[in-house]
Amino acid sequence: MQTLLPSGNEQGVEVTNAWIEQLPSAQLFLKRYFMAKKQDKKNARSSGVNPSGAALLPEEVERVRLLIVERHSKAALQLAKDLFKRSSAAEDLLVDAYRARMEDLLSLGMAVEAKTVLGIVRERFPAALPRMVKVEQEICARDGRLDQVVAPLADASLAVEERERIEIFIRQRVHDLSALAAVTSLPQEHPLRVAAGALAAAFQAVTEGPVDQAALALQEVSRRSPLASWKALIRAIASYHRREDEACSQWLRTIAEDSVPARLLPAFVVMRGKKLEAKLSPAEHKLIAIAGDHAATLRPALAAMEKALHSKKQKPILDAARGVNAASESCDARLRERLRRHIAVRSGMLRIPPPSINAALGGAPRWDASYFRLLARTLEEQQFVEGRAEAAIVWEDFRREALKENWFAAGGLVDGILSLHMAQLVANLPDELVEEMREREVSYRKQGLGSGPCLPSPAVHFERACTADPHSESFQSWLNWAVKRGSWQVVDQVAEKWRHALPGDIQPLLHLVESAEKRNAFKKSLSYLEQAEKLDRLNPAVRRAKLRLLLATVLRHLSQRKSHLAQGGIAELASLPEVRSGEIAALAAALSWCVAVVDGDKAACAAELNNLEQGVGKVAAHLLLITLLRESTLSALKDLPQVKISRAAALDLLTGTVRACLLGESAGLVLMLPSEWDKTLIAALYLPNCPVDAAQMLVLGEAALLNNSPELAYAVSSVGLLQGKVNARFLFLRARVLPGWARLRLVGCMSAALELARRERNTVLIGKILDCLNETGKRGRLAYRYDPRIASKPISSEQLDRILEEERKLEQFPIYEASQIPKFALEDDPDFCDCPECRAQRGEWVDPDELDDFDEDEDFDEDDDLGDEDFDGPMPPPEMMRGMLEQVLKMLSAKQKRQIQRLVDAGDDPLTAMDKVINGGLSMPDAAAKKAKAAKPTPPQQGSLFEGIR
Amino acid sequence: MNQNTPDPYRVLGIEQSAEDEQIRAAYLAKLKQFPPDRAPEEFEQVRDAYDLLRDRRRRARHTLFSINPEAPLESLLDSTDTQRRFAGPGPWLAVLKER
Repeated sequence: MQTLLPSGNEQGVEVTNAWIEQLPSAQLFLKRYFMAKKQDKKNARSSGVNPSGAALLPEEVERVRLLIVERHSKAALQLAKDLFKRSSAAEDLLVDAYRARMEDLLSLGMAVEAKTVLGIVRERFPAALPRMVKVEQEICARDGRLDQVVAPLADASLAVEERERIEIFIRQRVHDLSALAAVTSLPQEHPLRVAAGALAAAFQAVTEGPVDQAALALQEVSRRSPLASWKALIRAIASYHRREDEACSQWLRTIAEDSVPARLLPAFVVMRGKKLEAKLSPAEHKLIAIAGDHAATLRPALAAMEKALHSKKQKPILDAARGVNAASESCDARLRERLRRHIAVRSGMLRIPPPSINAALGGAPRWDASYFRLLARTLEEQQFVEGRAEAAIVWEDFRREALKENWFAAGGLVDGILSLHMAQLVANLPDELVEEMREREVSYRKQGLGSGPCLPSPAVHFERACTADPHSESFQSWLNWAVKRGSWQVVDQVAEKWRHALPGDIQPLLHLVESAEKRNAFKKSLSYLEQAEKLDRLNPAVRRAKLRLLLATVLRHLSQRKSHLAQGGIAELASLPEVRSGEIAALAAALSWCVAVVDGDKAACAAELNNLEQGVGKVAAHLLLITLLRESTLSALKDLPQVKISRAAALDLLTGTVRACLLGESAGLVLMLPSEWDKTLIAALYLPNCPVDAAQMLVLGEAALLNNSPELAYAVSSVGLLQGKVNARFLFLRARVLPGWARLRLVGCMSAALELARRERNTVLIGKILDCLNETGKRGRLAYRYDPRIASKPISSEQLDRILEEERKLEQFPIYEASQIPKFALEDDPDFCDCPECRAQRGEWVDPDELDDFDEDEDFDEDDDLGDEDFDGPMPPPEMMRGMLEQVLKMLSAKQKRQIQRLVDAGDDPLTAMDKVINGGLSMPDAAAKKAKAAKPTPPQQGSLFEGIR
Repeated sequence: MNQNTPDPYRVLGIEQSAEDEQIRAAYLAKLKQFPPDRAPEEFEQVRDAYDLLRDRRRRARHTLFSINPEAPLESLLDSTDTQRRFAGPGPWLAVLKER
């Protein structure tokens, strides 16, 4: 068989078809061979390597260099390795590629990998190490192994170039001064180590706080030192913190551009409030956020924001918000959040849509405790009362978040104070608003919308406040709220909790005493009183309460005709210490007289009466006895000798009455003053030698007020004002005794009394006046409510003087006169306008006739066509109208009601239907209900009456 | 709270979490720094700050209600000490370490 390959035939053998046909394996071989060739060509094209030659082609070398220059060190290294495999002439190229690779790795912060590559180079190409010095130094510097880097400097005979190279490296690469100062390869006194140490200490000092100029001298660092730029940097930082910007700029200009300190130049630009185009790294941002001067850029933006908020216009606000967002970009995140929070809340109050303002601010504020606290405080400062209600709800949100963020512990002091604040907020809301909000909560729940915003419960919060911070003021607030809102059981529970929490406080006991007394539970009341006495026997309220309770107990026994029990009570009463001489004894004698009446013991009656009259006089005795007879429901008036006022001297009558009133005040008795004595008493008050002083007159006046003797009380106020002492109290008395129609004088007197009490700092009187203003009282036949706004209405000294002057002149009890307006009334002030419309607007009672425009003197033609314009003008408030209509409806008969219902079913509105049934369809202001003008019947001609007679 | 009243914690140089002893110590230190004869205004501020913070209830009320919603926005800058704060060497070195 012929061989396939020629032997020794240098010129080749002609391949014939017969080969191929005969040798299938050859066919396969050829195929594989040519395919491999083709692949080699392809590879050679992509790598630029000449696939066919062993020598390096210039373009191949160029390719590698290009990749190195373009920082594609990985590809350059791979290609260089391939070339090196082909030809050892590529060694230099490969070393360069290795070096480029190491530099790239170092720039990426991969010092460990760079070190590994260096190890490979050291192992395989030791001759190339001198070319790796720079990289090696960099790796050492990254590793903190500056010893090796600077070690050559210890040699004084080191070549200048080498020294320069190392110093350049130090200038350009070394950032750890402390490490440099600690290198062991240089002696301790080496200038480089000394300079590095001084610079490290100075750098620490200047970045931590103010430093003296002397500390910045840094004599150890020469101008030519590779660390000279550090000296300039430290001085620049010091100038920056001292706000010496010009000096700071000068020092920054001296920093070498290729030095390590030069890396701070971009950050300095931004920190001083200027803009920079280049992008900053995260470390630079952090430095700027902490140490930058944000105020310089923020102040103008915030001033613009403030102006926009005052304009209350949406577009300027949103534009200004964007400005603030941009100006605060470099700021500390906490400051940005704070600004965002304040701007969002204030914009929200101006009804700027939250999505818009949030977008302008670069994001919504976090709903954390700080946010809710700010929102709650902002709502509290709003003028409308709903704001305070919303604030109470938002405080609840604040509490929830604050507990999560550990601002304070649940149940602690801060929690207690917060709870008290929330409770007081809700407690001071108007009842109507609270009711409305509660209804809204119920409605939410019914609709399946959850509970919605819930108004905090004052009871819950008061309890939490008093549990967390048991304090008299907190408990007092709770008690005051409970008194207004709750039943006596609830109020007593609060008092009991107070008593248990603070056993040393007497107020809860005094409340419990009064509460039991009001329910006539005298035994219980006395038991509480006993405990109060243990705390403070000398307390005036305790002493008065004791006398009052013992008296009430005796009176009850007397009313039950249990004389033996009454005597026991009298004995106990008689042992009480005297406040005013003889009063207790007199009271005991009076009560003993009553006991004698119950027992039917006339002798004892006479004896006790004698004792009593000897103690307090006939007049006082008489008043005391008639009062006790009334209180104990004893009917023994006939047994009492009458006081004949015609014979008694007026002054004796007066002094006796005053004495009785004083006793009554001490004992808590409302004395009965016979109305027939009023004139004599009034006359006695005006006598020049009237012995009664101002305090005694006030007691008489109060007694007269309680006895429904307005003329006597008025006279007391007149005499008191004329005397010019304790004007505040006499004005207060007068204000309460004036009739309701004298409203202007009433308001004047009340305001003046309050003002005088404030000037005198008479807190007791101020409290009484304010309590009075907040109550609805009765004045004669009419329910009257004082205007609580009097409490906040300021009154000038001139007004005060005018009121006093005029009231002093008006000594007589006023008689109704429609046009009576005191001279001190401020006609321009609507609060003092007494016209029916203004009174109706204030919610005060107004006689319906006062609202009638008709002049009774004019002829009233019921056929007049009444238009809508006739009913123009202020009408009574809706509540009043509703009340009146309800009254009318109550008075209708069943038949009328049925007629009205039929008309309503037929389509009439209720008022029209009522009018048709009740009034026959007249006088309605509704045009649809207006009656057509009926033709007047013509009167008969006079002559026609007599027709047919002539 | 009056918007012109300085923050008592800043005046005494203490944190909001400071306890009674720390508050008192800070007060005494500030008294030495600002005696009444040499720095009467600062002394008054220090004294007012201590009066506010030494009572636990007043301190708690300050924590809760001292924020003034009507304060001008610029006043927020004063409280956060935004002006060229001393950051310590760390943040500066972090920038220097970068290439």
